[in-house]
Amino acid sequence: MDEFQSGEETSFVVDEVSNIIKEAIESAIGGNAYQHSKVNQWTTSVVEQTLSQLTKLGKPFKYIVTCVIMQKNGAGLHTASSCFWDNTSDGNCTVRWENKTMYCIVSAFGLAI
Amino acid sequence: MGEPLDRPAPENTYSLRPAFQHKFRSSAVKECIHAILKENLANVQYNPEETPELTRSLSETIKDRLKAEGFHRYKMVVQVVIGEQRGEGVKCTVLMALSQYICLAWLHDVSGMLTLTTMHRMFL
Repeated sequence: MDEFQSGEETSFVVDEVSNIIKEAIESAIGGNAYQHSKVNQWTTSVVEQTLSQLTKLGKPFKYIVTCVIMQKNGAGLHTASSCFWDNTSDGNCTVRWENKTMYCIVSAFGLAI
Repeated sequence: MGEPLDRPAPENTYSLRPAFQHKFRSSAVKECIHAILKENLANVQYNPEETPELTRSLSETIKDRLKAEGFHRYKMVVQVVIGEQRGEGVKCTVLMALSQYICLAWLHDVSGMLTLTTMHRMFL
């Protein structure tokens, strides 16, 4: 009887996902200053890029990616997430990035099929 | 000699989609989340010390309440974002592959807080 693959190929590897997210953020908003009119486009671009790279990994996962871009203005921001899933196979990764004018927080959740 | 009787073939019983009665009701979930947010954020002001704990406990409460609703064979992810509303822009984009979500934004003009709650679920 064929065993399902287990190990690297079917687990959520945090480092790998974290790198994917960092690259997506750099390429979408790398050298830019906060601009209210462009933020929608930036968040969409970060999320789409992250998601397409994640699906290219070819793992049997469903993904959820969220991105929050916030202007540096002294205001506070808090995020929390609560998950009901299988601890052995599912995982998440959150990357906090900033430059002089804005913060960008991207969370990626991977749920094994 | 007669031919052997055809054995009835076993039917597939593993369902890939939820039965109609168990189908996820997004309106019910929305009501539930709305009630929890109302209960917890009614008179709360933004406070840098207390808000992190509030965010965390809100997401736990919502997850536990939804678990208790009894959605069989569903995995779920609840995310709560609370930002201080100081007049600047907070943009949030959520995109997912092969999942369904419910998103609720709760804007408090009085207390200066913007709360965004997203709940994703996946059928196992």
